[in-house]
Amino acid sequence: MLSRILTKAIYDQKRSLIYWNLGTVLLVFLVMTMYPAVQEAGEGFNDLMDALPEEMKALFYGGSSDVGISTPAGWLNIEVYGLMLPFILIIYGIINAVNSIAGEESNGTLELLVTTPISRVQIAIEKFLAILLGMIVISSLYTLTVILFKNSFEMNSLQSSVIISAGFEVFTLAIGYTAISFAIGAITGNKGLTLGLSFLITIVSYLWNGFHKFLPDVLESTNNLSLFKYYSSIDTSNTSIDITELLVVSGLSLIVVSISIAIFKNRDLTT
Amino acid sequence: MTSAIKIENLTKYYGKFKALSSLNLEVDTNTIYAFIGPNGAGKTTTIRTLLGMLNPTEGTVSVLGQHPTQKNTGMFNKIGYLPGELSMYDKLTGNELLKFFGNLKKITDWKYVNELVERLNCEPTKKIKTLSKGNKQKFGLVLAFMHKPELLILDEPTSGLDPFLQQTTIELVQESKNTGATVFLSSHIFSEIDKVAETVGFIKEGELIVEEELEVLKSNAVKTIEIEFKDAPPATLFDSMGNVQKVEAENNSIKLNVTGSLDSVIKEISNYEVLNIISEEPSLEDLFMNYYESK
Repeated sequence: MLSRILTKAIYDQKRSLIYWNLGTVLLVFLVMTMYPAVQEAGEGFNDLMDALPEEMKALFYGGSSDVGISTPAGWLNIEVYGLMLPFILIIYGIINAVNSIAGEESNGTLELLVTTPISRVQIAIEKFLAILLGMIVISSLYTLTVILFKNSFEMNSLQSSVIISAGFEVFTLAIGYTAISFAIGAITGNKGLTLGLSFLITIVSYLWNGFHKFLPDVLESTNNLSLFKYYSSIDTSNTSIDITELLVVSGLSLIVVSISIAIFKNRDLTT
Repeated sequence: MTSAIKIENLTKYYGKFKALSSLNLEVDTNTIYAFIGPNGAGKTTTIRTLLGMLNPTEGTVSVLGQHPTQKNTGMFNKIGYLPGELSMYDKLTGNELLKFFGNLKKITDWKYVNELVERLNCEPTKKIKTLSKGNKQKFGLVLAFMHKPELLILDEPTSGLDPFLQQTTIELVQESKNTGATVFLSSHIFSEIDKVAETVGFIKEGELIVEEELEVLKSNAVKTIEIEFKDAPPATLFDSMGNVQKVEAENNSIKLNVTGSLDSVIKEISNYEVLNIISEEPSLEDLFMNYYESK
């Protein structure tokens, strides 16, 4: 099991990965069980949500056009896909990204690792891959949960392809913020700074995307810098994975991570 | 004799703070070199530069004939390192820790690793986080020696160990030397350095103030001898000897500080009846303190 950095990094995530998966699946399942009652209440809920300003709707629904709370997509969006699932996956990614290089450097364990014949580039790549694998497992399990139980809770109208597409949307968004966090850790080697900056960037870009319309005209287009702008949760018009978006965010993440690894390769270690 | 370590004009700044100043140091292959200095003198900075963890601000570093950069990570298979502040993966057991690093170092001789575990009396089934400082240090030592490296860089190797294991560590260092390895040792425990070191380097405020073979250093040092005569010798007996300084004279005894060889003193006192001579060999600590205070 402990034959290389990648397997050791997966081994380190083992226990937390189990709990994150259990918690996420349970959350999604509970939300699904409530849907039949919400559907019955119908219009009352819809009127309540319709009264919200557009910007607030965007915050809750995650940019989807499916905003009717009594529809399966609308209900899942407002309860999990709009806010909870993206943040669960982003937080998982950030915590593990912080613990990978910055964490090991702050703890002092990196000192023994970099004095083995394994290069810093390989150490960084394998650690990042381990985080991605953990995120793939979480994304896959909650996506599978929705697909497996949708018919049991009167969500038959929701196509599996739409759910898979939404799963990819969440994953793509989380990759972006995980990559930023990993890069800050690789460049600074400071655990506290990486954790603080990562959450600050995530929260500010989330709020910025929601409230940019309240800003002066000059700043209105700045929400293009927020990855949340490109995120859409369950959208019944999306029956296929947005490959372009996946490639763009993955490509940008790859560039950010590559630059940070190049800096990590040659910089002084802080331990 | 070739060099296992060669440092030329090494200067290292942390911001505006100068940690090392034009340091020159050479360690011959198959020798034991003790690197001595107080906290903050630059020992750890030197060691981390040797291992490629820090980049020199100026100067060059060569280890086993290569520069310790990321282009030459293969060289780390020939180096065993024990950090001064040892941090290990707390959640792993000792066995898991050794397996992990053994695999990274591509260990094939696990019998030797097990032998080290037994000799150092390690507790391999316990999690690292449950171990005391000394018991963690034992695993640090196994990690440093497990791949039979050509060069050992040991920073405070006996820190936290009981006297028996301190002795075992010294034996391991000596055995490695006997099988052809070079040892670069940093320690505050002068008695253990005295037992094994062949060459010593004293560092002060980032500068190497002395580098010499230990025997030469000792032979050139000031020795204190006390001579007891049957009858009181003339008061001017040692006045003409440049390398002798009279410390005190009481009754028939004289206490002297002698620099270098004792030959002239022995010849001089041979004309008198001597009842006893007590010679105190200068300790490494005395040597260090003398050099450190005089520079």
